[in-house]
Amino acid sequence: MNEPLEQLLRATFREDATRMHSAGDLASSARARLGKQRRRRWQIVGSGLAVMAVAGGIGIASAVNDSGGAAHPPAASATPTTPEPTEPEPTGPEPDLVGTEWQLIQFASSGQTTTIPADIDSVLRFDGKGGFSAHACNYTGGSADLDDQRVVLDMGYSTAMFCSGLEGEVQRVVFGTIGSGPLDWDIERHRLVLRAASGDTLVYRVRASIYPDPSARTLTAGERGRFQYRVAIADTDSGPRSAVILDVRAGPGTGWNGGGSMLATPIGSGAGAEALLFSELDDEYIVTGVAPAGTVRIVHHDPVSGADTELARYPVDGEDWSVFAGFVPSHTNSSTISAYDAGGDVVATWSRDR
Amino acid sequence: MDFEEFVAARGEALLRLAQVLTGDPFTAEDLTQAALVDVLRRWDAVCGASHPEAYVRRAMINRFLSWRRRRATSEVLVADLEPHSRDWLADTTADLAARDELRRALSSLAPRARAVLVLRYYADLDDAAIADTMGVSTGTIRSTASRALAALRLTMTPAGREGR
Repeated sequence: MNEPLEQLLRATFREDATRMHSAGDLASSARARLGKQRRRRWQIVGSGLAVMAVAGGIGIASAVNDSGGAAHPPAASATPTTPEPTEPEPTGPEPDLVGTEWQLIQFASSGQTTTIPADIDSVLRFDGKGGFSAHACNYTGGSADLDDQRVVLDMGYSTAMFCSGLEGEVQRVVFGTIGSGPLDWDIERHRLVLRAASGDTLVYRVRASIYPDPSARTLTAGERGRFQYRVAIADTDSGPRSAVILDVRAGPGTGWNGGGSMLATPIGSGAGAEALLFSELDDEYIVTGVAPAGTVRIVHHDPVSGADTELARYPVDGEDWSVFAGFVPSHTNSSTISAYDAGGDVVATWSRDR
Repeated sequence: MDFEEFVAARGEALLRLAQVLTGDPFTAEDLTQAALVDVLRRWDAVCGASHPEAYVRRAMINRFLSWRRRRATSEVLVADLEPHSRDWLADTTADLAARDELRRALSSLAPRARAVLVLRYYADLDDAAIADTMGVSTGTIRSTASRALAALRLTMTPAGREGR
């Protein structure tokens, strides 16, 4: 086996392997890229149900029993929500710098002031634990050193997709400004102003939604321990099919990392693992998927823990199927989900092996 | 293990594998990112598997083959390699030349054949593991590798394939 050609192959491949670029922050880049893909894949039309940022910080559409007893995320309709405004009114106490989703509305660079169109969604957030994340076409994040007047942001990672037009210009100014050194900050009339030593200025408002896709229709949302989550439904650019979206993050001001999105494929239709979204929280999981028509009850079974957990169902306007979601103590490769009809018969099952 | 821990531990190795597969650092970065995004979508299931890295490697190979298929129509084969003697070159130079010749010969292989050789001679996987990664039988791997080696021998000069 060790003939010259094979030795040459090994040596050549080993040499080629050393020609790679620095690994960089592959994990952060992958998460950012996944988030970007989700936003690009689902071309959302129609306005969303309402989850909005409220004065004094971020608001969540509904809160789940943090005691751990509730398996069902509450329906959005069970909790008062406020219509999403086009422009938040600057009333009430000023929002906190930390934990708020800040959306860029204007920048001033080299003496020129530019107002940002609504379709450019450039967000800045601080997690209160020494970190920040931002996106302006590309994504960046890193450490944030804050005091009551100044903020110093160290861009530990950033993605490097090609950006052009105004979106590219916004990125150039935002990344250039936040990476330029200490910034003075001030919040007045619900506007965050960051000012660099050069005089360049970024002006943010409180973003109308904390969620990555503000126009998706929220079915259930809330807090669970330190996590924030949302299950939503969105139209897609794939014909008449809808998408189910699961957003999860580990607290206000952190990036949305968990969850995912998928075409609304009912369990039991042969799509296997692709027909379920789930995310691990600290000591449990949130799972969501699509129950076929005729389902009146849906149960998650995990043979490892032995737990049977009934999941909540959320009707979707104009559809005979529904979305199910809930918290389960454990979700493993051997877990199953069964949908039952009114007669108690199983109409569909999900398992990883399908 | 969470996603960040996995990438911190194995990200560089995956990037090296992508580099050997593609032969280009920019494409390698893209390939690695694409494979990681693929597995991030279902990370909970991946890290629950007995060999998460094998899962990621499979995603990378699938992506590599898929990309190569899509790009195949726009690729132009280089001219046939011209045999010539390198007897007068010093040993080190001869090694470099042999590797260069091998790289050109590898570029003329089908992507699937190249992937088999990379997994066998760079990743040091046995044929059963390669078959599992590529979703084919062990026999197919053996025959693909055999044909690929024969093609390289046919393409390269005697000095090149002897590594001198």
